[in-house]
Amino acid sequence: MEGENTTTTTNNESDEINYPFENVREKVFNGSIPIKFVVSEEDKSKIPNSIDYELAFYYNIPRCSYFPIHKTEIEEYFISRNVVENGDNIWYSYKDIPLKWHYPVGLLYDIYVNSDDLLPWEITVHFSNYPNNKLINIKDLDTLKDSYLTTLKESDYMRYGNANRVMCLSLDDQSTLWNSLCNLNFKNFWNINSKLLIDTPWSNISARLYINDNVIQERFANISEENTTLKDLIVSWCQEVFTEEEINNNIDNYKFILHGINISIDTPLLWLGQYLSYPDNWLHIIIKQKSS
Amino acid sequence: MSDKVIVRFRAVGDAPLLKSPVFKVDGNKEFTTIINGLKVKLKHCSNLHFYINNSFSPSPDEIINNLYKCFGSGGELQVNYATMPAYG
Repeated sequence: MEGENTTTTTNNESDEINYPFENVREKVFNGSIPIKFVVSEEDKSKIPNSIDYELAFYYNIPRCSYFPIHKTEIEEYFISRNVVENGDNIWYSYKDIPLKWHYPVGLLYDIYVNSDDLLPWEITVHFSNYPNNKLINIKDLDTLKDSYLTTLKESDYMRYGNANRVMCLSLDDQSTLWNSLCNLNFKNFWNINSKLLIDTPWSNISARLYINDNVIQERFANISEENTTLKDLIVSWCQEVFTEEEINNNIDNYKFILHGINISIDTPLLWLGQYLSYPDNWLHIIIKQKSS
Repeated sequence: MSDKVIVRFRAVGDAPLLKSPVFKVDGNKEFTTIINGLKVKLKHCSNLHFYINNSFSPSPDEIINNLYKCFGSGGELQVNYATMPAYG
């Protein structure tokens, strides 16, 4: 009996040694945002028998997920209440800004919502007048799947100088990866996804910085150095936005948001990439000025 | 500093060749500018697919300058175009 116990303990320990921050990945993967979907005034005015109460659908959407994955639940609510006949042209906006369907929901929230805004996040759902000049067209869920996989390839190319790891995934593995993202199955997702990140050193970091409606994405070869931090990346990429001196002296005026968390700029960059990337394997970091 | 990016188009498979495959484009624009520009030049091809360095299709809203900075080489951004989906 003692021997068995010892073996079990040893296995647990070795698991922990191999994946010391596994719970960070899991927490980030399972994070969600409560959302209130309100039908647009324009679509409301088309309802034959006008209604005098607010039609709102409340739904919890995982931060790492995408709106089209939840289309059925959202449109069903409004179809069953005779607001629309179908959700073929569905799109979403927040404060009149159309929300990109190919961005993770948590990223959209972090870009557009101020930290002192109250939850649930109130979003307008539209069933007509799709803004073709502002949003990419989407036919069905396969459009999102293709977009997700090619974004994954781009991040692979960024880290290794080629997209071989994603290209070499079997069709089964690709399906498992996609389906487990849709169904929020952490274990199945990371069984496959860890194959895409495990080889080190990386030749680059796959990261995007979002500042004032701009997206910054560049090469950053210093990723392999252990003591490289988020600050080094920001100093290197944001020279047009602020100088190193400003970052040193006024860093407290800015916040760096990832998965809704204010990240310290002294966090090791490689660690961020390995444990706090979105399921598309990009680090999406938002830089905001703190409100005074 | 010039915001122009030199784009070199390369045909994949049986995609028609361009008379001059090199263009200068505004780097601040989105990748969709490149897509639309080539679609105009190859009007008779109904279905075109675009790739960077024979590897992946950027999202149409990615900024050309970002793509150049990350994936450009020899002062150019290589864009492959195909009439059928390629590269997995």
